[in-house]
Amino acid sequence: MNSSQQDNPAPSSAAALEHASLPVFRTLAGCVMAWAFPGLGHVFLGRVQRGLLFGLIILGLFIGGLALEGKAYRPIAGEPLTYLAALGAAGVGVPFLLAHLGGFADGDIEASTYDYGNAFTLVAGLLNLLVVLDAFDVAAGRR
Amino acid sequence: MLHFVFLAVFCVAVGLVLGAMLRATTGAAVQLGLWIAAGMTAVALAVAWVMYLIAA
Repeated sequence: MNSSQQDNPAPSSAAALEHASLPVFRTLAGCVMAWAFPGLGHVFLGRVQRGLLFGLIILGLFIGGLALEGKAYRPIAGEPLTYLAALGAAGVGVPFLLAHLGGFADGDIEASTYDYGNAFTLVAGLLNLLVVLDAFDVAAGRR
Repeated sequence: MLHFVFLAVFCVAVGLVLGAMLRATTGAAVQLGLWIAAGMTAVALAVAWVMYLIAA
């Protein structure tokens, strides 16, 4: 083992436990912001460049999906799979709510790009849920 | 052709997000993201050909 490795030992489980006592507010706020608006959580946690990248791509996917006449899934009584799809699409946060409130979220089933649009909006939500987990790791000091 | 463009855009977007989550530096993230995108595109094309041949 050389001197640099001795000076900077690998993180131990004790060090990992120390991260568990990080400020709850900062962690919670980062995760809520990451869900509410793609990339905002990372910007809040000081990862501005990464947050802007996430925001640009995920919002682009979601808006692109709506522009392709896709829908942002909503739960439909009696159709259990729509609950899962709505949960995934809602992962994009406030833009999902705005799309529904603004009447942009229904799509056009007759459009040739309808299925592409559905995939774009759904995957945008799912990706943002992963970004929320990444924001939690950042807040916990694992990244 | 337009369908392939949608596929490529989708794969690049997903690849870049995953790359940014899995790598710390911008260069490494973009490199991994493009590899993921290329892999997704290749698998999609392979599956499309398999389905085409099965249907034929």
